Parts: sequence; structure tokens; C-alpha cells
Amino acid sequence: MKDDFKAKKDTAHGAVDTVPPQMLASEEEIQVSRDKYSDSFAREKKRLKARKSKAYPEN
Amino acid sequence: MTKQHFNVRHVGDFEIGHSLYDLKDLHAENPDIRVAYNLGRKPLDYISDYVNGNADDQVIKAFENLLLRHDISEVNETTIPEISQAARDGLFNIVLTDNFVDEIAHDAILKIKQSQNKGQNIDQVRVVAPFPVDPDETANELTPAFAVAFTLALEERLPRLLEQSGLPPNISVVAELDRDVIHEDDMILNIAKNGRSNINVYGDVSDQTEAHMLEYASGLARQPVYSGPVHTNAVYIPLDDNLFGQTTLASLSSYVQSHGAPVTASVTVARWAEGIQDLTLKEETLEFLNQVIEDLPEEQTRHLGGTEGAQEKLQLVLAKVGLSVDFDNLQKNSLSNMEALFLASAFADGENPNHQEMYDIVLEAIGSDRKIFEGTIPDYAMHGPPADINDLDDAFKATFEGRHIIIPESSPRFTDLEERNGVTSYELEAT
Repeated sequence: MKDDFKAKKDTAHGAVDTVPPQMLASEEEIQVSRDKYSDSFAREKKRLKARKSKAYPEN
Repeated sequence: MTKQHFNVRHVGDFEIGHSLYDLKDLHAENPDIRVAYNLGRKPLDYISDYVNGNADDQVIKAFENLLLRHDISEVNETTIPEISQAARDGLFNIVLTDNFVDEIAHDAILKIKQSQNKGQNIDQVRVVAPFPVDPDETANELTPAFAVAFTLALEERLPRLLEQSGLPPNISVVAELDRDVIHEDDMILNIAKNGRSNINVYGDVSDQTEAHMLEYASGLARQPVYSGPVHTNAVYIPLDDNLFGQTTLASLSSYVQSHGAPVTASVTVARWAEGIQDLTLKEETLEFLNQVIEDLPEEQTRHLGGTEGAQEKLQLVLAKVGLSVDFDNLQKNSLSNMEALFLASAFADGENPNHQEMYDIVLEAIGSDRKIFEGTIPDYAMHGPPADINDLDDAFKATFEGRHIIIPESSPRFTDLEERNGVTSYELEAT
């Protein structure tokens, strides 16, 4: 999957061959962002589910 | 050639206004900056060079229209800057009403059925957000949180709606950020550094050098660059915190569509927050409309069926062109100030000094002036009313042409506009 990771890229205007490489994030930077957003998601999911089960206890 | 929708959904004066709000301050400090945000030649040249070397007239026109439709004064009064800090739960409760979630779910169901008709099997609904790679800047906590809230709400409501639509209720809802259910690589990400598509300008505004102009323009041109797998067995729901300039979500949708998966209308917090989900007709605009229509000589209103009252007459006129105003609930009307203005100008009697004066008041109220509209409205505007309803109809069509009207595709107004060719889908060569 990683091989075609960066191959699949375009913008609203079609392909982006013209995007200068320095404008694109490195694998490491991508990983940092991905972790950050996924962590936020996981925290919030836990919190919302806990709140929901509190509001609607099974018994 | 792949048909690539340029995602012509809804842009209102409001949504694009936030970025322009910054420009308003700049303009106050230096009136010459107006050259920039009216898209003078330099930014256009730059965009033209930047966007694949393929910025045809339609794309340029889209940029122009995007900027022409702003409503700075309205933005100045909104609570947008506070939204990101707002209490999430309260905010999401306002946004994620059952009706709203159902509307998106129905859109997804429509796309599932359309895909089935084309022989494409859909067994997943994926919530996807256009996250930028932005390691050094703010941590966007709001969008992941919104993705959770929306996903849970959709999970709750979708099965019943699927069943009602005769579809198997086991189509799963997957959020791309959810590592509980998908692999971490299985996610679309915006891999452009600081790939935000808004047009904020930073730095010394008195610097009118070429370098500064290019920096400004690069804000427009700095398009998101998406990377990551697209699943053709899924319908995608683009989700973000705020919809400002449409480019981020539009390009995300285009990315997904160009790789063969259907996309629903976008889901955002700000657009759907109470009081700002639809464009509001300003009082000045309404007053102007009323005055103009009340003042119309009888021979010009005969074709409206002899209806009494300005509002009724206006409704009839608007109905002919697929628009309507909910006078009882102006917060939810679907007519933008720009459209209302246009209507007003079409009816206005150029010889009537009251109309001239009111027209200027309305223009000022939306942070604009006549100069901006030069060449964008029919010649007869402010030089006398249109000859008949067909004239007005044609004029409306002309103003809608080429504009980005972003309305959820499930909205009757979108259908109206689409049928009337009021919505433009750009077909771009995908390489």
C-alpha cells in the first residue's frame, strides 16, 4: 500500500505534477499528523461512548 | 478521460467570507490591497501557471466568482472565530440534529443506489476528513471530535433508513481515523505542508512588491494534495470543522471521485450551526426589494397575475427562477444577498432617485460597491426594469452561469439549479 501512497495524489484541478516536492510532507511528518488526529479521535470516541452509556444505562 | 466533478456544491457569501475578513483589515490599512483581492493580473497569472499550467477560463472564472460573492460585513458579525473554542458537546448538539444526519444519510443512500445501478457494489460508508499535515502548528481537536460525533450519530440512524430504502441494513459506517476498525495506512491525508486553501495574507501589508503579491496568490494556489487509498466499495462523506473557501472539501471530494468512489454532500460544523446554516437576507436588502416592487407600475406587474402585495409578487418572480424567500423565517431563507441584490437591481428603475439611493445602501450593507459589479450584471440593471419575466429569468441564468453554487445535492434548490443549467460541473482531464 505504501508504494502507491504518494502516487495517488491530485487536487481539485486534476493531477499535481506541478507541486514542488518541497511542499509535500515527508513520511515522518505524515506519520506525526496521522497519529495526532487518530489519537484525538480515539480520545473523543472513548469520552462520547462513556457519556452515552452514562446517559442511557443498560439497566 | 475521467469525469471529475469540480464539486459544485454550495458556496455562500458567508462561507468564503472568513478568509476575506482578514483582507478587510488589510484593505482598511491600505486601500491598494484591493487590487489583490479583486484578483488583478498577477494573482491570476500565478494561479494560471500553478494549476497544472491548465487554468482554463472556467477555472479562472470560478476563482473570480468565488471572490466576487463575498459578504465581508456579514462575516464581521459572525461567531466563527469562537466556534473552534466552543464547547463541543453543545455545538455538536446544535449541528447534528436528526434531520441533518438523515439528510446526509439519504444522500449516501442515493449514491449507493446510483452505484448499484452502475453495477458497483457498496458495502461501506466512510467518513473522511481533509486533515493537513501540519506538525508544527495547531492541533485540530475539533474535527476529529466532530468526526466521532457524526459517525456515532450516523451509525445510529443509517440502518433504519437503509431498511426503509430497501437496502441491506448491514452497510457499515467507518471513520477513517478510527484505528479500532481500520489500519492506520488506510486513510486519506492532505500531504501538502500547510496545505490550507484559504487566502489569508500575513506579513507586511504595505509591501506591494511582486514577492508579496506572489505570497498572497500562493495562499489561493496552495491547494491540498491528497494521498491515500480510495475504496470503490464505499460511499465517502467528506467532513471538516468549518467550510470557508470550499477548496479543501471540494478537492477532497474530487480526489475521491476521480479514483472511482461516490461522494455525498459535505458535512461541516460551521455551515450548519444555528443561524448561519443558510444565507440570510439582510433587512436593507429586503427593504429595497419591497420598495422596488411596491413602486412597480401596474403594467409591469400584470404578468404576475394581479397578485396583491410586494412579498407575493416577489415570490412569484422568484418561483419562476427556482428560488424562494421564507419571509416568516428569514434566518432560513435560501436567497443570498447577492441574488437578492441582483433581483433588486433588475427591477430597479434607474430614473427613480429612491431606488438609486437604496441600491447604494444595500451595496454598502454587504460590503460592496457598484464598481465590483461592473460587467457582471446585465446592462439594463439600474437603467430600467427588465421588459418581462423572461428577461429576468435569462438574467438570473446569466449570473448563475459559471458560479460555484454549493448546495447539498439533496436540496430541491440544487436540483432546480441543475435542471436550469445553473450549476456548472467542470470536466477536467484526470491524468
